[in-house]
Amino acid sequence: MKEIEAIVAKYDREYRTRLLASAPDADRLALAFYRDVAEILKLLTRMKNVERNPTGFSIDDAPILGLLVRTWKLLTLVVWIYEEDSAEYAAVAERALVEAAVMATYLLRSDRATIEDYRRCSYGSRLKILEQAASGAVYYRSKPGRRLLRSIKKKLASEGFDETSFGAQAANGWRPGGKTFRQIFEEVLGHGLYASVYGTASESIHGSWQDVRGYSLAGDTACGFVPLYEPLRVNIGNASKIVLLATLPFRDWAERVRLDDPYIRQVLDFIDKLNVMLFDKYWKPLFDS
Amino acid sequence: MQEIDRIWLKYEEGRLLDRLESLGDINDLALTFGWDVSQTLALITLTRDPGRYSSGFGLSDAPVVGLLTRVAKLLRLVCSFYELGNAEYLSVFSRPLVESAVVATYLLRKGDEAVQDFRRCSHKDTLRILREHEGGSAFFDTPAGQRVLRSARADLAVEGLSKDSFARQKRNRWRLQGKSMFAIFAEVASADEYPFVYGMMSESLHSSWNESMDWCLRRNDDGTFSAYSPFVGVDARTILPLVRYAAPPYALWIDKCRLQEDTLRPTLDRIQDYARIIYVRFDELYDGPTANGTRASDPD
Repeated sequence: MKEIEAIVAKYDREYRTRLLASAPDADRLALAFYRDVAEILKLLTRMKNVERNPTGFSIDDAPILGLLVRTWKLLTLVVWIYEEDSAEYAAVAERALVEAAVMATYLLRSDRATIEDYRRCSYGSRLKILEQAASGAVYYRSKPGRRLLRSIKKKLASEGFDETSFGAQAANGWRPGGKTFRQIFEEVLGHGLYASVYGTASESIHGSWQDVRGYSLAGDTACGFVPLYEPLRVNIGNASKIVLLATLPFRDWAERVRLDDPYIRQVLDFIDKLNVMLFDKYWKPLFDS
Repeated sequence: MQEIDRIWLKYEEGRLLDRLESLGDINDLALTFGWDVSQTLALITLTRDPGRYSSGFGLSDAPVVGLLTRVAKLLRLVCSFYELGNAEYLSVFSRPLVESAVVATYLLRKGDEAVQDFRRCSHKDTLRILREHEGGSAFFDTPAGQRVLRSARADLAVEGLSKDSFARQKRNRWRLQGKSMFAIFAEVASADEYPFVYGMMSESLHSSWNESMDWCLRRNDDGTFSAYSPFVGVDARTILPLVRYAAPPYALWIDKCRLQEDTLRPTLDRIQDYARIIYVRFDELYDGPTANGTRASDPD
């Protein structure tokens, strides 16, 4: 907890004023704030109530904890990309982060059976690999192929699963509860946000024409297009949208695993409050001008 | 083209492939090789036959050269994470790289009709914006909303499209020629490779319990789990297989644009050969553990 206190302590009135101003170093300070947020989230994933969890977390908590670790790791990646000013890569990392944070929140609000279903859904490609190996595919006689098979079999055994344990998941298209990610997203965050926060970012993953035209080509239809290798500047305000989602599951997690110190909620409130101020700073002019 | 020749000369003159004595040598060379491939691929996209393309590329070629540019840039980014020793971040960008390369190969093989369909498939969100505007969304009363609307209309106009131009794409559920990524991958590469190349790679983008176990959690002796904060490291396996998927569309592009085939095609062949040689040597020397500690040589 002292490490978190040390981070928060530097955000005194003067520091916040500089952060929220339009001063030349304000963007740099905003990125430093998001790096601090990632560090605080990392520290939260390491905390536990020793009465509830004397050693580690059970198989029912671990899938959520894994997603929380992924969330802070991806937030660190987003900050790195922003520092490099490579807008085209930001959306790829941001979408993965949104997916991890939303899925973690969904699982936190679900029952044990849903969490187990989520675990089983991650074996889809691995079962296919076992099938291919059983039918004699040559690759699985090579060293890397054998390593892969062993890894899969060991994981299945450690969870008490075998090839027959996945009937429901196969029937549901290997989606948790048979739901699309859109359905899960809207269950967690309601309607209206999906397209702007998640949907359009998908293009950055799949490399659509709109995406390559925006990020990998210069020119137009009149003069023709040429490859574009110069990095494109990132709008730091985008991070404020992402951080709003990143902190969401950490509140529910603190309650679930009984991190009872009220300071944790205060820290998350502090992050969200300052982040909303940054959101207003970067986005409000776009709506008001 | 001298720039490309200069890049690859050091492999011959320095006999770099003869010096792979240890896994350390191999992992170091994999990074040098990755940078060299990404630079070569970038230079190919910047090479033009001025007789054929006096200005830039038209709408039939631009989507392909855009994807090829994206592949070269993603490979460069992947090399950056390799240099930082961070396999987790590297993997986030491996799948988009493979996907872009596979789609570029598909478009080059199928020709203009597929390219046109690829372009139209990317207007799904443009149509949604127009639909929401017609539905009276208050967002479009704001300056930001008006900008979005203007941009959406301009996107369609510049290609001579209207909201009625997409019957086929709607019928095909906005998938390129109605095909899933699995179908395209199977056509371009191999259905057998899909689960371990692309299927498991998808986990680096989508959340997955198996990925959490490999990268974000540590299993304790009593079967419980704790957070795993360090990043998993890299070795040659995280970069060499990507070259296998990245290079083929450039060969097709060279043929299509008739770009100095006599020098560029052999360079691409050499890249694939080098990737194979380095990978085979790695495989000979490596008997390390999988993510969960087992080894290929362990008894059943």
